[in-house]
Amino acid sequence: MKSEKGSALIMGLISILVLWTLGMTIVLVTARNASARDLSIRHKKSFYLADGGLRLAKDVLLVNIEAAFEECLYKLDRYIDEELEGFLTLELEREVQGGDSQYIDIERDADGNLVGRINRENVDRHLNEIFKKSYRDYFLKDNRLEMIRQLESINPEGVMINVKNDYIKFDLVDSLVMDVASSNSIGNTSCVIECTMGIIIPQAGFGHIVYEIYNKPVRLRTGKNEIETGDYNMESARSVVARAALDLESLIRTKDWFRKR
Amino acid sequence: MIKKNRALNQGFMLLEVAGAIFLISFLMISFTETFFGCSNSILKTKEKTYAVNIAQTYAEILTNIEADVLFSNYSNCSFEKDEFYVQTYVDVLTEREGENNQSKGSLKITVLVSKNGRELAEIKTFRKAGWENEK
Repeated sequence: MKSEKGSALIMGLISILVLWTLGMTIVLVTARNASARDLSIRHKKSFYLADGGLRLAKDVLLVNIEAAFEECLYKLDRYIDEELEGFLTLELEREVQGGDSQYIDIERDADGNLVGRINRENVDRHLNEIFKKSYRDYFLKDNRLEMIRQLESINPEGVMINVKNDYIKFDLVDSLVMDVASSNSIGNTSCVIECTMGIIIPQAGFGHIVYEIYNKPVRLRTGKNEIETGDYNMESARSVVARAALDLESLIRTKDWFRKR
Repeated sequence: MIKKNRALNQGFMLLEVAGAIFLISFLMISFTETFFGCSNSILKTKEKTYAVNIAQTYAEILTNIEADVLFSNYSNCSFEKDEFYVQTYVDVLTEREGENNQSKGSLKITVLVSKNGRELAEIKTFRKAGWENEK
């Protein structure tokens, strides 16, 4: 009996310690759980803003593609109006002088006239190269910095768009690509989404551009029996319209999308 | 002397019992308070998480549906989902002329979820779209 004296105190102290530890554990677990969920909620909020930022960036690209198309088709129309005939005449002269032109084929018609015919496929390719060159120049030279400035000035609700290294380059599938990061911070939580955005260069061969140059028969007719160098009676259509026949949004590609916390 | 000691012992005993009762009740009260506090916090967090999930679902829907449906059904609209009150807003951020007398541009979508007047979750995102000029 004597040896059991004070055991109640020890038991009591142990019970208090156990209860205290249990209580503190519950408090800590709950607090940590709550803060983790709060963090996750903030992440979700900033993710949707950053993801939306990329959609706004795509819209800026679309605006630029529309402007590029307008300008490049205007340049192409001007080329067709002002320079194409001269170019084809030179090619005809080359063919006449025994050279091999890929744009003009000479043949004799039923009346014995020598007729120069345009190789439609190759002229299409030539026009497409002209278009592609002015399209590339639009994005790589004339408007590169302006487009990057437009992208980086997107800032609704604290969204930040960053074009890495202010750099637009070609990739292997004939498109202009840039690495874009969209980020948003809420408190000490931030979400960054990085991706590679590409502007595909339109291809005549894929139906991106339809040239209406051949809306009437095109022939290059020369003298009756002999081909003369000098004036050629070209029946090519003048005031030709080259028009875009595609959904411009399909020219924007996004790849390598990943999220960083 | 013995009587006096017994009385003193009884007094101490009483004091000990009173102290023990006080300590136990104090512990019980604080423990219960902590327990209820924690349970309440867990419930509130769960409610908030559920509200965020609802907001997330609607944000996903609104960024993917057609612009016409978005404007006609979800532009400045409110409805009840389970025991929550959901409000959606569509703001035009940029607008430019599109084809066939239409406009196109970028939109800000806001989904707000509340319960009993208490705002629980708000998700904002953006999208591009084409729409009728009247919008």
